[in-house]
Amino acid sequence: MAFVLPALNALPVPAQFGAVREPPVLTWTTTVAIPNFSDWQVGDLVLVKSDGSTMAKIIEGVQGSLQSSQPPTGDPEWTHVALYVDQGLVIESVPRRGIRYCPVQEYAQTRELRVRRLLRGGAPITPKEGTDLIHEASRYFEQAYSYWAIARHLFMQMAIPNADQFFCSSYVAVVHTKALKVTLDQLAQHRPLLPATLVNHPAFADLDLEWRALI
Amino acid sequence: MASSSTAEYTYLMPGTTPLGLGELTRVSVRDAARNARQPVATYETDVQLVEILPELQLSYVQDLHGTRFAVDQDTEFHTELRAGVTYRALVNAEGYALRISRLPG
Repeated sequence: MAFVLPALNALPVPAQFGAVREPPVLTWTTTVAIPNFSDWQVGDLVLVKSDGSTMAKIIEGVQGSLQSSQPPTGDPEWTHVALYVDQGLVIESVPRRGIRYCPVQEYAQTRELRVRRLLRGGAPITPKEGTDLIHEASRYFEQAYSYWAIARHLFMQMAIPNADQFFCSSYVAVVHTKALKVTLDQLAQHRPLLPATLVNHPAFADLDLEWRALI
Repeated sequence: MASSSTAEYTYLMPGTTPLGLGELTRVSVRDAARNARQPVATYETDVQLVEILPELQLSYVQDLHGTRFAVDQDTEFHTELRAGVTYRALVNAEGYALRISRLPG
């Protein structure tokens, strides 16, 4: 939604700028909106689209290059994945900080989100299963992020890394396997398991995101 | 912000096939929630050990098609697991090995 400040627009244009200058129109986009977390469930997968940072561009490039050789991965612009905890928080593995809790709001204001829920036997996981997932996820709190793990995963096609070698999607894979005995990279077309792989992964269903405005 | 839309979906009835089938099919949570949970399909396949992750107390076996199955402390072992040896495994469609034993005969 765009707002226009009519009062500013009504200001007279100083004579020195001449008649050729149009009156200024000040517009901006409101970002005061938050996801409607009441629909979200503990253990949901939260995918985050690239913010254009150097790291995101590298991930995007890697995912894009894999797309040509190893289809079908998803849209390479999805460069990060986290797990929804509760109360607007996710747990995730990020460079420099390792595994941490983070408010979804940190992403929601500037980046596109997608929320997906694991299916078991054709039905979404229960809150109890989601809680088991997050309970397992929290065991690795503050474990370091590993660039080496990404390289190892990409070039050596290892299933998942060691416990001290996480990156965002491998962390999600480990937690699913340990907590629910679900192997997300079970099939060859899901290896390497990267955020873009999880965008279209058939083990998950999509949540229709709803937003509410903060006034 | 874009949100997913059920309008573009075609529907998959999962639960009886391995996860990879229906690769490009999407399901909305709302629609999936209407499904009663089905038992996860199990089947026997021949596998070899491909990876051991001692820190996570996890191992992975893989069949001839490259499909991987996690092995952990709850997997029932009827033999010792060694690299380069083919075993018969009871596995499920979620990628978990329920039982591992020697090849018959």
